[in-house]
Amino acid sequence: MSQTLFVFLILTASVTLLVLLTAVILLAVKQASSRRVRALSRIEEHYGRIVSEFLVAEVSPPSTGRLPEGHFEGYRRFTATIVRGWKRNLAVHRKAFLSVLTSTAADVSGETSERIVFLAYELGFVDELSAKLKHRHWWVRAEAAMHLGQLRARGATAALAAALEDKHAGVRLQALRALLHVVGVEAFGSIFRSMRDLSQWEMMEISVSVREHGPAAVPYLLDGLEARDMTIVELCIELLAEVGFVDSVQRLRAMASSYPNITIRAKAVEALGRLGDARSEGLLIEYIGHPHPVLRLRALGAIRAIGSSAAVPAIRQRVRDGSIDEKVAAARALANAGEQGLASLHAMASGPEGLTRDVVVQVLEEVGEFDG
Amino acid sequence: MTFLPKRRTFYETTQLRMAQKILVAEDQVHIRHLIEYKLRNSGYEVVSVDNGEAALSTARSVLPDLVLLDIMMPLMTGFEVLVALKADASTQNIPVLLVTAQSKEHEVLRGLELGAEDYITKPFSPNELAARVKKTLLTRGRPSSAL
Repeated sequence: MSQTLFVFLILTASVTLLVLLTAVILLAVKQASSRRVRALSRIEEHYGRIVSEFLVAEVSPPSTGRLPEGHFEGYRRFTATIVRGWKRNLAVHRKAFLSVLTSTAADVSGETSERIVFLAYELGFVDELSAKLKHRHWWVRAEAAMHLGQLRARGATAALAAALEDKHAGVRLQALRALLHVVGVEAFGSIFRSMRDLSQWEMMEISVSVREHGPAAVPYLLDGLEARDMTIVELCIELLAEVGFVDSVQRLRAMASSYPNITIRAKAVEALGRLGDARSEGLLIEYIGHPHPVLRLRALGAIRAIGSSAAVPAIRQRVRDGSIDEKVAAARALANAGEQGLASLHAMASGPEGLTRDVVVQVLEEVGEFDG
Repeated sequence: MTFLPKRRTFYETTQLRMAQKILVAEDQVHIRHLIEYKLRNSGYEVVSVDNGEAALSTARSVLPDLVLLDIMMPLMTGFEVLVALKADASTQNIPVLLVTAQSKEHEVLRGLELGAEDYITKPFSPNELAARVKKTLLTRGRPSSAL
């Protein structure tokens, strides 16, 4: 009995000791970690002040009288003082300095911004980050791409363009953002050439940027129509319609007629409707009777957007003979086809009972034209 | 070009005492430093804080000649500080410059409606910021050794 008690006590004491030891280790690790964070924060604060002073300092006129090389002479005297402070804990100091540069770069413009770019090149950050784009861990590559974008490092354009084909989506997205930030609208050329199977996030990023650049993005969008990747072609069609570039009608008509992929043809038909150009009317009317149901449906949607009275006979036929989706789309297109279209709807509403009549009545109610 | 703090001469110290006071309220430490250095280089006396509450209490105690106010700040937003400054008789005449993100037009409009004098959008050029500060103070017609 006493032996069992002894074993029990030993076990209890061991477990208690183990728990205490674990707690002490965890506490020590946590304290060490917060010490590191505080130290890094102090170093950042130190470099933050130095960088701020440099960014607003009056630079002496260059001895050679040449710009910008002559201007850099003044800057280099400053970088020499920084590098002297890097003898110990080089990695920590460089990390802190890079953090200062990237966080400041986002909020400044003009000559101040150019000084940050100068520091990034002069202190070797651009080369270091470009090399990190080939690191084995994806998060290191993604962070490097993000920093290069924040630093507006044009020298890293080729490396960032290569990163657009990275195997990890997180890296591709950061490279995409960085390129758009660094080279602006010209980045679309590389993006549409290199990227494959765009994710929703990538599409969103491109869409926002295209809207920001407006008509300047159109030549790149037109080039994007030639891309091998279907997601890019589809996105470029969508964005051409979004930007409202009417001169793309000819290209879109050609794609709607002969592109080998039916999804892309349907997208082109939809875009023609959104652009609302009269040159598309004939093709869209023809497509209302196309053998492929997706094209018929998109053509009905597009012709509704245009509001064509010439299309009334073809649309009326789809109201009568089409599937339920086509009947609804066709009835809505008729409602938007002027008086002739509305007259057709009223005639069908007083026709024999059935699905067609129900659909027509519903659409007339939608547009406030149903008189019972 | 020097980057280390210089010992001020008697003349410079006197000038500093006479210089106009600017309160900088900005929570991003590096940007706050940058603004501080730029304004000090331009001859102003700068008091800086990193949150809205401190901005309001400092403005009331220091009564600066101008307040540079970031909109997105902890504890109190720039708008809340602006409203409080304009509601207080002792601070209502202090001109306020807002610092806002470029894309947020509605923020600019709201700030101007609430009584801000002008605004600066990020990313900003420190030179432009100093010029706007100078212009705002000039418009207010206050004599300044800094101008």
